[in-house]
Amino acid sequence: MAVSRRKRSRVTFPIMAAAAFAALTTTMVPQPSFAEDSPNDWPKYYRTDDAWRYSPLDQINTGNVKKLKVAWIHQPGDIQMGLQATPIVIDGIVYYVGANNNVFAVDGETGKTLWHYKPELDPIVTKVFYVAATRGVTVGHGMVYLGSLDGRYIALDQKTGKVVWERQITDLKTCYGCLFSSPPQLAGDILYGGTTGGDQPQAGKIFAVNALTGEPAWTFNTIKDDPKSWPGDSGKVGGGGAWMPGVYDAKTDTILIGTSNAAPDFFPDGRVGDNLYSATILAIEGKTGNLKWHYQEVPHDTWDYDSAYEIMSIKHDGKDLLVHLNKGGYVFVLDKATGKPFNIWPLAKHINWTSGIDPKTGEIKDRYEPKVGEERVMCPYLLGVRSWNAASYSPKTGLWYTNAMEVCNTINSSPQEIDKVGLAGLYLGVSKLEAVPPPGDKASARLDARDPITGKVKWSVDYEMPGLGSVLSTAGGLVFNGDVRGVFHAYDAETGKELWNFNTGSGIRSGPVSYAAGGKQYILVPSGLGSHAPGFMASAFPKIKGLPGGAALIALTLE
Amino acid sequence: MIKKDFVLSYKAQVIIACGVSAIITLFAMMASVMAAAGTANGGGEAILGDPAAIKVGEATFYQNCVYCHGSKGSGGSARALQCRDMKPDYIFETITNGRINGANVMPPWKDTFDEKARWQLVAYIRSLRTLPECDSNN
Repeated sequence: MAVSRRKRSRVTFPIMAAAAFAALTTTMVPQPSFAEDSPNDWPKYYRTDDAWRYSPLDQINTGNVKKLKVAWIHQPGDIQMGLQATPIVIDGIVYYVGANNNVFAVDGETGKTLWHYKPELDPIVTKVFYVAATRGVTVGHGMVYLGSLDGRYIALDQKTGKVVWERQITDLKTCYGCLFSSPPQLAGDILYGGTTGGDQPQAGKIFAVNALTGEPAWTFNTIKDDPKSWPGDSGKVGGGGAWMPGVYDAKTDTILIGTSNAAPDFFPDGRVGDNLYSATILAIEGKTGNLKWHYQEVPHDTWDYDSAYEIMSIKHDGKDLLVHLNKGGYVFVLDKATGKPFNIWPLAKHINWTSGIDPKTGEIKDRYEPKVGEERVMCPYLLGVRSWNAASYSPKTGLWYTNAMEVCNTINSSPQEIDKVGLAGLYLGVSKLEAVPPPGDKASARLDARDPITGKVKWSVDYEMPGLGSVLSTAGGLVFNGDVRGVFHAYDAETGKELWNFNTGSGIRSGPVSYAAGGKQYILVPSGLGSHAPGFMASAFPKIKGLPGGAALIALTLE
Repeated sequence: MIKKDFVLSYKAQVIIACGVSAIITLFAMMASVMAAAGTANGGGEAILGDPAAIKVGEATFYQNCVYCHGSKGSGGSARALQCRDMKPDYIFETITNGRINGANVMPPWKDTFDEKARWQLVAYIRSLRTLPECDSNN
């Protein structure tokens, strides 16, 4: 086993030669850009680096959306943990990843498989907590990049699906199964990404390599080497994984990426301090990995309030701002150049971990923390006011569309022995943990349309259970959102009126996208409920129990 | 009158007595070995009703299992564990080796928890079969 691992981690001579040739030709012949301005494509995880999840296509619109029909269905053939990916679409070809890192290139007009890459995964991937699921792939430099479940970066030839290079990045045996659940992202010639690990006794890192060759470039420690932040050895087990895709500002060579909570999540006694850079937005120079600025949303987090979700860029009154949802229920609007707060507003109605956050200074007032030996109801719960799948912003309406839920958890804080955590274990620091309705209210869910700067509500649609997929908005005046039963809804972006829906057969836990091929616009929805979240929220939403899993990529177009 | 055919000879009686004695000894030895093994693996089934074991198992459950199985095993993405009279060996085997059921994947926990911890989990899960809510559900 050890020998094969070493073999795998090496970049062989032919691969190095091929990569060197690729680098040479890349230098000599300008490659097509990611065409952020190409309306037909969905070239990146959030489509563009402003993370709007907005398609400028308008062939499908409020007037004809009722005529949407299934064009084709592609099944990855493995439904473990559902289908959680956001597909990438470039020049009419769909690239996506199903369970256990099966990567596909699919003809966007017909659904025909063009190639399929099935990696030989280390058997350890079946023994860890975050099994089977991956959120997508990244395409660029003529390659399709995968962060694997066994801790590798793998670059595939975009045309053939053959391996161009691969590199072992993490060792799951020594980091409690830390792995790439999200696709590494491109910052020019740099490929970077982080791993799971906010709930494990490990120290998070962001790993960057040369995207053309796989050679290591830099590593950023998301656990700051500072005894004021992490006394004693607490930082070595402090969590802090950056487990969602970052975004890149090419103009300033800046990577923007958020980090997870500090560990152990609910028992903070051993980590007195601010616990930098957990629950933090990081601005990192792409070429060097140097930190430009940081903004810690939740200093000394004791509630599992990650800052890992999408970081949206928006212009407002001539200012470049970032809009970012923290799991703790607040939306942080920050100055993009400095990270200083511009405004902070609550998305959640039920928040009791603080009496409020100063919208100009970010000061967290009157912290209410978990306590050893006492059950306390904390709001929002550990899954946040929303799960990790992203919101959408439409420049046509100026509205930000996001799923939201109102759920709390009962917590009894408790010390936890690290040597008993084990490979698949979690380092939560609890003896009791249960999702419960908010005090005096029922557990609820909704899709909101809001002003992203102020939080003012334009419209809101109630949901029976929390939406767990990403929202999609389009220039056709539409907002698409899937529910956990598998019904995919289209709304009027201005009013929230439901115009159409379609039952995909299994819950939406992924990122629906839109693209055009052969002169037709398509809505592409990955269907397939999975992941751990439905299990934990079942005590607050009993109807979520037993909903069917699945995995099918469904393309919809006008008849 | 006793028919001759049913009268056992002295020799046969000695052989039977020795056989029974040997079987009893064998069972005693097996029980001794099992008891020793039970001690080595944290008590095995012997700890199932032990309140201390159930309490430790409960904490382990909330730290690791509640995500899928729900609070008090009420079910979620995985099937409910409460109000079910499952055999201890079945629970132990499932925890040890994991399970794949459609979209749901439970990793094997044998590399995470030692035998004692797994039996403590079994003890807690067994305690869920007689919760008050089981009566109301029925």
